[in-house]
Amino acid sequence: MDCTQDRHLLDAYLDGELGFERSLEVEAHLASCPRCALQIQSWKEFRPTMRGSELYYRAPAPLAENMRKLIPRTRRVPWLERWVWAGAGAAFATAAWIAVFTVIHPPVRSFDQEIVASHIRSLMANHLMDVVSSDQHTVKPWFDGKVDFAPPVQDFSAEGYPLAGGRLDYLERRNVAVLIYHRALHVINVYVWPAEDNHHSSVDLQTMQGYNVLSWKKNGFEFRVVSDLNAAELRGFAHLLAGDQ
Amino acid sequence: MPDRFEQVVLPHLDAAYNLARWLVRSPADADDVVQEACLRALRFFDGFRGGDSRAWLLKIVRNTCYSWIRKNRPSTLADEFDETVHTGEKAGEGVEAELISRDESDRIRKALEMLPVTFREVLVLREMEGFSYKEISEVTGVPMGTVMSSLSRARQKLRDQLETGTRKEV
Repeated sequence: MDCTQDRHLLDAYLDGELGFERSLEVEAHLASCPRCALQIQSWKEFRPTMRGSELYYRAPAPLAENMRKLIPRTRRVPWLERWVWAGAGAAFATAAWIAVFTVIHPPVRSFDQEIVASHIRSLMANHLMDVVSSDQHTVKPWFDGKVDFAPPVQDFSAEGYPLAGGRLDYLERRNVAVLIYHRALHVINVYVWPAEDNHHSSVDLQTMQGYNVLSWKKNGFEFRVVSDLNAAELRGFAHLLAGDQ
Repeated sequence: MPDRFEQVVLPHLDAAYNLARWLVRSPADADDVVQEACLRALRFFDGFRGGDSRAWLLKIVRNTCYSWIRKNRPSTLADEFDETVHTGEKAGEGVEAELISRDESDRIRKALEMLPVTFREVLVLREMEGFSYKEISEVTGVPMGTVMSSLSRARQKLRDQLETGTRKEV
């Protein structure tokens, strides 16, 4: 690698956007070029400030309020038409629902959709956390007596995923423990409940409504991780979580 | 439909505002731009086929910002350093305030505000939103290779800017 020509490779390396072989090339170069190594190092040190809340402009509350008001108003004009369509749609959906339930029975709204909806609700309704603490020894005992299992709770501040707290959720007719982590300004919800069997499964990714959902089973627990964080970093987090229990 | 719109758009309102605030650089204008963008999003919502709703919304916000800039600050679109920037707390506070403001975030804020809009944009999307190159390319409509090189140039300019900024302070 020639760093006078291929400077952008350093950036792609920094952003985790290089394939395995190119990454090795860059690493070999870094070992022999103190200037580039320093540049990478200094950007890594600089990054947390860049990602901190000081530089992030959150939407002012009145703006969010206005947006909420705006939605029904702009939809008012074709309401009759919409209701007719909605009515027809609902009738059709009900028929389809019944058909699905009577003929074949996998539910239409999957469990993962339910989890994504729960994640969105947690962001919208100011109901993100029931216990706010970055201390695993506060969060873990909090679940005592609220769920019939002891979820694995760990803080990953050192790795850039600080524990923020926990809450209870009710999904698929059972209590589920939810751990909340942060990555910069992203919220990561981790859903944990006892698995029905003792199988292990590897981390599986799907994208729903723009959210990444990772799922796996390990040590008798089932895990779902939901966030709008990019897939690569979220996977890194999942491996921390899965690896250290 | 409005319910679904609420679920798709409102959770990303902070991201929308942050991007707009960095691109147009004033709270009141960012407010207007985000409202306008949400109205557009509502209008286009039937065309949203699922997928990454945050990138979808930010793309609309980004395009609305550019329309706003083209109309109100066309000179700042030139790919150069922007000397006309009003860094908020200007007149009256004097040189002393400048000297004292060694706060790291503040320094970065000022340096970042001086960068050309295309550089601000990639840095906000990459560093603050944690977008991948593919997502940035989706939002900005430029190829991934261009995303990579403009990020590289943006970081270099930010470094330069921070250095000259520091020298001025000393």
